[in-house]
Amino acid sequence: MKAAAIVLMALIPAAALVAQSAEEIITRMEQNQVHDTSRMEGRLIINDRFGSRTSSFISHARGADDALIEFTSAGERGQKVLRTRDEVYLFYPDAAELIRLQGAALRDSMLGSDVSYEDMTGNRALLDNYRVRLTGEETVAGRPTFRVELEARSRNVAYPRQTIWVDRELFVMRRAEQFSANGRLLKEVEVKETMEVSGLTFPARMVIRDVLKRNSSTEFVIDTAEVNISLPRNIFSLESLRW
Amino acid sequence: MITVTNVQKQYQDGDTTVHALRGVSLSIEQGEFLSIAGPSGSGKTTLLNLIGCIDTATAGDITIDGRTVAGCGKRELAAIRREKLGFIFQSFNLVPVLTAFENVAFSLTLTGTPDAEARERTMAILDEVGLAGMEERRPSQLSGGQQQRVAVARALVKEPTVVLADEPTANLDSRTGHAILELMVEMNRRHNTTFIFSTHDQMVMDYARRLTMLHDGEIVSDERRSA
Amino acid sequence: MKFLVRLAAKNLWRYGRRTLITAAAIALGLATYVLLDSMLVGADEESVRNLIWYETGSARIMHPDYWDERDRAPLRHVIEDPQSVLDAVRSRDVAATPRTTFSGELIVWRDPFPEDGSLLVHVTAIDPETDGRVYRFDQWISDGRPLQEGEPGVILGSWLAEDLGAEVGYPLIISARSRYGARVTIDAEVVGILNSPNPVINRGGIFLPLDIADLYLDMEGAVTQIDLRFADYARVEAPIAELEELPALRDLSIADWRLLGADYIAMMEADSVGSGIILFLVFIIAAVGVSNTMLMTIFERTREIGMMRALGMDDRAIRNLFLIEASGIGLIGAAAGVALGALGNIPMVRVGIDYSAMFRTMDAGYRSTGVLYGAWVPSTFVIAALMGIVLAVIVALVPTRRALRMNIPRALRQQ
Repeated sequence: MKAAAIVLMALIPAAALVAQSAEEIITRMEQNQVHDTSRMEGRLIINDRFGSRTSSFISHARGADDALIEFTSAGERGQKVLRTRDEVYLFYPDAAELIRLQGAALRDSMLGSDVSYEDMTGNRALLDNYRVRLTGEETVAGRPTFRVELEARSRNVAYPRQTIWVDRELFVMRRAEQFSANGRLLKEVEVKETMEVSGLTFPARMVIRDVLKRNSSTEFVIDTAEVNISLPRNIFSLESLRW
Repeated sequence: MITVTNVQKQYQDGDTTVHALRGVSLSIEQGEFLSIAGPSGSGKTTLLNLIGCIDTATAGDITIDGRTVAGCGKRELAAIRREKLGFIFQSFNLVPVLTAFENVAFSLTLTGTPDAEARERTMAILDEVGLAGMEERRPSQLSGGQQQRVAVARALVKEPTVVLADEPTANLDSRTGHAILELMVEMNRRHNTTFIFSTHDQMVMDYARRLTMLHDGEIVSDERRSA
Repeated sequence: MKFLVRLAAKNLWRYGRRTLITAAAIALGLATYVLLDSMLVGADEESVRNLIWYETGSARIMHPDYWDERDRAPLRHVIEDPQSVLDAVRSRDVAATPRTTFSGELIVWRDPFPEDGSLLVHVTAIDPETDGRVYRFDQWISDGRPLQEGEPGVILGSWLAEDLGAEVGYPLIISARSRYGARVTIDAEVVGILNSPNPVINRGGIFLPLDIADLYLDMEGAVTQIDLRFADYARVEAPIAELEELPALRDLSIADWRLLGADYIAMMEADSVGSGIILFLVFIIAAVGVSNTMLMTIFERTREIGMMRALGMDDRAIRNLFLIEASGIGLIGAAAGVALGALGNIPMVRVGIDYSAMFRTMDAGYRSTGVLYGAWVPSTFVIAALMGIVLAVIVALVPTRRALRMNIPRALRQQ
């Protein structure tokens, strides 16, 4: 029995090389994109009918769940968003006010972008939430990709259906589409640039469009990134929001 | 009957104290027909007001029918005026909304005289003052002389101890003035009612049987004359 | 006393013009008061009616936890088995209809709409068949037609439609969350425009058939509320007490229109302070007018007062005389004012005052859009009449007392 298990385990990577399953593709993508720890500096460029504005930020993350984002641009300097597995907190330095986002408030847009707080909340392990299916291989922005369709396992997943195009060689997301339960396209994500740090490749410039709201898009840019570094203790705690 | 004992009256007029009366003493008998005369500011009206209990003295005392006025409250003074005093004013001062009859009866109503008696006495006095037939006229429908006759009737109807008349002829022409004075002389004679005038009208003084002259708040002469 | 009354009556008659002017001042003040009150009470009654008929019903049955989160219109706390509740309620002869209110985003796109746009909204899903038993929309659909079961149609409040540039036949998207949180979109078409007497509905009302909402929102038959209308729509205590006994409602709670329309009720209460201030101002103006004429009256008669005092009339009797006269003027003014007010109130009640343009832009909280009608409030007439008389007497008291404090010789010299 034990021997059989060892044999089986040895076989799996070999099989993966031959024929990639949808699960494997997603898993490898997440290995690239979800880091044990990271520190990134980047920008959020929001284009809507009022024009274009840029917010710069520094983010620290640990795994799929914990993240702390601090905005550094003039307009929102010192604003912080803390995400843990189940909760999102906002800190506004002017009011020295800590707000816990709950329920429907998580659906609000972050800084007026096409990204909601909920989009950022924890549990990004796609396989926990979705059944996945490989439905083809397509070229996206000149790169060969796998096309993977995701279907929510339960009714409480925000986007009941998604399609993700994953780079066949780098296993980084190239494009994503998110749909409502009745199949209307809600959001489009296009990965314009990727970045490789410590052997991990992840999106460095993404354009996110809320399809329902025409003429608006949010660009998410990572300028510098460090991964698998040691982070200060308690950085993902409420106390850290106030320093 | 009426005694005025060392009566003084001062009042403030701005910063200055006006001595309207500086110790006046006077004794008036029942049935007198007396004129208090003097120039303006001599205190004659003040004296009349004090005797008429519509003003109070600063010092001294007045007795009317043996009743001391000093120290009386407003209601007591009103009662004295109601029961013992009759007034005749320079400008008649009838109640404009009342008829001649009602103006006269008003005096009796105030003393609580029963209606029937009041009616009888009112009709009688109106007849006496020569207004028979004009009982239902309002003041505005009467001449000045007639109005003053109503006033005389109003003063006399309650049979007062004394009738006080302040310049009763000043608003009348001399012929009417004479007639009113004749009427008062007649009433004085017939009812033996005391009459006290304050006046600076020579005509009134001529009718008076006693003439008290005031000057600067003091009596300067007091003479009785035979009619 | 009889003499004083007679004398007072004669004085009033004799000084007829002055009496009339003073009484007219009182009458005008009282008539204004009566009409203003009629309007305010009318507005309140109308608002309550419009609140109940178009917005809250007489009462609402909800999940007990729904109330605290109502602003977000969550689909978490629902009535799982509305049919049993409806049956139970209807067995008590109470009109009832199920509804689901949910929050979402209304999305419109250029062509046919004038521009792209989205709006955070509360959508009310109604049962086209039974909603009319509780609410009264159908007669107010100014354009298009009522909702039909099974059809993804939307009815919009008229002002909302105007702001969006929506017309019947235009497509729109409602983006929302299912009961479980999944993103859903409902592609719907505007089938009707609602121009109701309730401005809140006109400004923000979005209605959808209940079965469509049920399907898209994954409600599986559940609804957020069951709205009720009682026979006497505003009287709720007794029927609610009766319904609370029903076993089918054991785990649910009932809120009446006062609670559901609390913002409005609060506004109405705040407003009654405002009305009180307005009424007080009217009172002051009338009082100033009355006291002025009364002062003149009494001042002119200072010599007469002096004469009466000289003749030995008691101060108290004189004061009573003037107070009787004043109350006489007050009585005439009150009678005239009440008559004038009643006369003016007839068209106010029957025809009303058209305020539609004003209420469009002004969110005063009134649940009324167009015509404000007056109301008959018998107590106001009684209060107004008493106020007129009392006011006249109080106002007369001051100058009378002053005249009586003056010394008699001075009063007699007064011209």
